[in-house]
Amino acid sequence: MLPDQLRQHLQKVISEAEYPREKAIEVMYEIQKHFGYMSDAAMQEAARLLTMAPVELEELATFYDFIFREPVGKYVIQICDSAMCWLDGYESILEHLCARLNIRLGETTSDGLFTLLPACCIGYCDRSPAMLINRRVYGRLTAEKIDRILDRLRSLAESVQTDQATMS
Amino acid sequence: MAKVTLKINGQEVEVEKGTTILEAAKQLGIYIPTLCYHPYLPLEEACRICVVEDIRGGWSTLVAGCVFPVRNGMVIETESEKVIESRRTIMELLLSDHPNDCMTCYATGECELQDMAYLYKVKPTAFEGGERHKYEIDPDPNPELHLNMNKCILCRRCIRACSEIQGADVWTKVGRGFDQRISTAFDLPTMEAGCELCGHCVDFCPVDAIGWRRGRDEVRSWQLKPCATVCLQCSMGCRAAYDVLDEKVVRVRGDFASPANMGALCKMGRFNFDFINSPDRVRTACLKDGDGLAPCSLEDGLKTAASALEKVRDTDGGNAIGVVCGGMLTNEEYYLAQKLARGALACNNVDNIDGPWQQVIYDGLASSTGLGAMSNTLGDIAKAGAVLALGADTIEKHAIAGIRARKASRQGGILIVAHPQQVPLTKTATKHLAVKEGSEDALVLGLIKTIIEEELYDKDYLEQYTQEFDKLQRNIEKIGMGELTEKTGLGEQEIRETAQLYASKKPACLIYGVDRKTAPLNETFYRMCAALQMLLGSLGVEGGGVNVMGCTGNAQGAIDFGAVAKYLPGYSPVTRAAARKTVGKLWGVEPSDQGGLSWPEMFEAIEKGEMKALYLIGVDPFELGYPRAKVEGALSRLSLLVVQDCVKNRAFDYAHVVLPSLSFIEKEGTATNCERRVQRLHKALTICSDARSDFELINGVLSNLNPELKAESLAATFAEAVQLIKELDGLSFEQIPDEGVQWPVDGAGAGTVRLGLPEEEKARFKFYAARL
Ligand code: SF4
Ligand code: SF4
Ligand code: SF4
Ligand code: FES
Repeated sequence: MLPDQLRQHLQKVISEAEYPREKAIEVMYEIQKHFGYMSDAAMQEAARLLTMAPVELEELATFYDFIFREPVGKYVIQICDSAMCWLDGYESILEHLCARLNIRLGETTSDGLFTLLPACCIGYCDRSPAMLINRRVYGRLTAEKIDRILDRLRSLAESVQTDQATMS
Repeated sequence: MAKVTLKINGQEVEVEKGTTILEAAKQLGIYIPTLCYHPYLPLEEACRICVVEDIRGGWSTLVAGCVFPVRNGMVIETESEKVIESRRTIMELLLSDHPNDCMTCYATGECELQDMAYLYKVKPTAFEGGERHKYEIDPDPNPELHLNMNKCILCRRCIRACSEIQGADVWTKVGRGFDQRISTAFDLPTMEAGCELCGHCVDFCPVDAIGWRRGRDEVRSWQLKPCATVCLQCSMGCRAAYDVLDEKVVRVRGDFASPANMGALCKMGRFNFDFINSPDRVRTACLKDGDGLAPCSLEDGLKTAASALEKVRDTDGGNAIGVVCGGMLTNEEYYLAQKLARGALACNNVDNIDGPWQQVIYDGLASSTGLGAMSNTLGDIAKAGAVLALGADTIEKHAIAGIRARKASRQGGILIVAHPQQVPLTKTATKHLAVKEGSEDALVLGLIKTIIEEELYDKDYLEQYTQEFDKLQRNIEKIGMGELTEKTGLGEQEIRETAQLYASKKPACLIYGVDRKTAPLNETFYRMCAALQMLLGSLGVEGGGVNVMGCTGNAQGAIDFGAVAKYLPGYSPVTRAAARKTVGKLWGVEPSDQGGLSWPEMFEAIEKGEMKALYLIGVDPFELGYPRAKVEGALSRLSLLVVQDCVKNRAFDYAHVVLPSLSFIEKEGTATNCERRVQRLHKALTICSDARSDFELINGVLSNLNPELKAESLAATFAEAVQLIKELDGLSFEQIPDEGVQWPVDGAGAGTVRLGLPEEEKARFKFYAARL
């Protein structure tokens, strides 16, 4: 299922490791970058490349917040779900995000633009409450700040779409 | 090893460095509770119920006793207030997300969580109102496992059992935090996820999360009576604990103390016991009555069998009689069966269903290594650098060897599997060779040829420990690779690469499992197996060896105790007059000097009309691999057929006398597994009927024929046999420990774990010329 180039690249990465399993996360990342998420078939493929049992890889994938086992939207919002953020307004931030996006935690907007997920502490406790969008950090969140970010991303996505439409 | 001194609850103890606090406490007899810990699984530290207080001067900390290693001068308190408080909180948290359904739960009475709650007086109310999981109950169609993950305490024993013991990797923990749960990869149904039905996960689950289907909603744990005996369903000889209710086996658990299986069982041993509970159990003796069978007293059955056999012997001669034994008899029963044939029926026509296979194993291996059976132990397979698995589907037919081979490969060893199909073991294999069925002899020659040509052999070893290498070296040249590739169906390159791979990591361990579906290979094959191992310097060493495993449960004991035409007990050929004389002195009757027939030869003799009477002991002749019409034809030609079995089989339709016997779990006696381990069987079940052990039944027939030959007791028969079997030198029945003893036994009762390197010049391992 993998394109040859990607497969060869991964094989090389794996062959450089002392133990193939060291590269488990890296391999899953690369495949995820290509497909957007890790399907069961992609997991099987990754396990084969890494000579690991699929079940071992599954344990890792479901433990690690940055591997997506289901399709996600264009922007993956990961709101920090740990103690510091909880003390600092996590609940109202989450409520606002859910209301604005009209989804619940763990869901994707119907236009496929945003997915909202919890993440375990991301290390920005000094700027709590915080979240990641496609792994970029946004701290000291307020309702207004969130609105601004979401609006910007939405218009960015729209302009890309119109660009593509005019090009074709 | 360096010693460490510490204090636990004020008591001083000295232990080896690296010991855990839990182990040290055990030495003092101090109990520390555990849940995720299991002595037969790797450490995990998942539950922390085992916390103890580590007191360090002015402060203290809580550490997990099951994993924490001791330190010199350590001061430990196992029941301090802080400890008890923590354990209670852990329990409260566990119970806060548990159904606490003990009234109707199968595990009640044997549940470790329940015991812990009782011990610490914890009620499930501490965190009432909190979130709870609501998983579907019994969502998986697995035929033996009943899942209810609401009861799971996330101890992860199932994961470790499935992965470490079975190597099947079905279970894992997915998700994290409160969302963590035990699941298969991608939530596949267990069978699709590769479950091999070994039952280890259910055996290790401390609660009823992965539970038994057998006995569910029928029995309570305290009604079950456990009894450990040896499973005779294959040649691994696992010790198993049978949980029995009245006349029924409800479930089977592994016996951890057994060195043969170390707690593991296969799906047959674990779940195939319906024949014991079968409605087709034979409960009385029967005599032919018109077209059917009519019940009779046991005494009448035995008398009739004896007098009818006597009649055939006196009119047609002893050679018109054959005795065939099944694969699940005890050593004493095999001995008595051959004594009956040789001592009372004047023939050597005695065999067991594995006889034709087992005999060549002995011939081939004894002549080249001096030990005519598996050279090493099952446990050794896990220690191999490279494993070459030949013959039957190992996981299916020789499960313990199979999981040990997997272990070797998981520890970084090479695993080469030669089998016509993809089998469960090929999943973990480094290389799978799709050889043609029954062509292992050609494969082994191909490997030998490559190793000699490419000089991959161990020259020093050959010089020091072997003889007549030149014989093989000269003669292997004459065998062309072409012949070998044709027979195996493999390419030359593939054979060469396999040889290089197999030779690349020592010790090399060869396993060959007999499958009765394929015709026996000749003794040369086994000599070549030994030769291959010698070339690689891997015979006579730990983790190596030539490990040949028979098919049925007591195939090894059958031949050791003489239930085979060619050999008297102890492998003395029947054709040797001196050997017959020794037996004659012991019995007062000398065995016939005419060679006996193996069971396939007996069938021929029946067809030719030369054999008139057959005594089948635990054999279903329709299961021997012959076409049905052939068996029917043969059985209907007989003028006397005595069938002795515990479950009705199709031969009953042709029987003149039926004798009711017991299954292996209802008997006492000894049996010998493929690794030469002589073990004691214990009666785990008693059924109320006329059925008796094969020992008693054969003895009944024997004493009717000649009271002088009658056996006095199991122990006496064992002792009598031992006089003829030098491998068991002086071993007494009562002396056999629970873990068994591996022959050859020295005069003092000590066994031999594995074949060692030859010390004397004349005992050197021997090469033979190759032949295809
Ligand atoms: S698993 Fe144990 S604690 Fe849980 S309901 Fe069953 S008996 Fe009770
Ligand atoms: S029965 Fe055996 S193979 Fe199946 S899931 Fe349990 S431990 Fe694994
Ligand atoms: S299913 Fe049983 S063995 Fe597995 S983690 Fe849960 S409680 Fe432990
Ligand atoms: S028993 Fe020690 S952590 Fe579970």
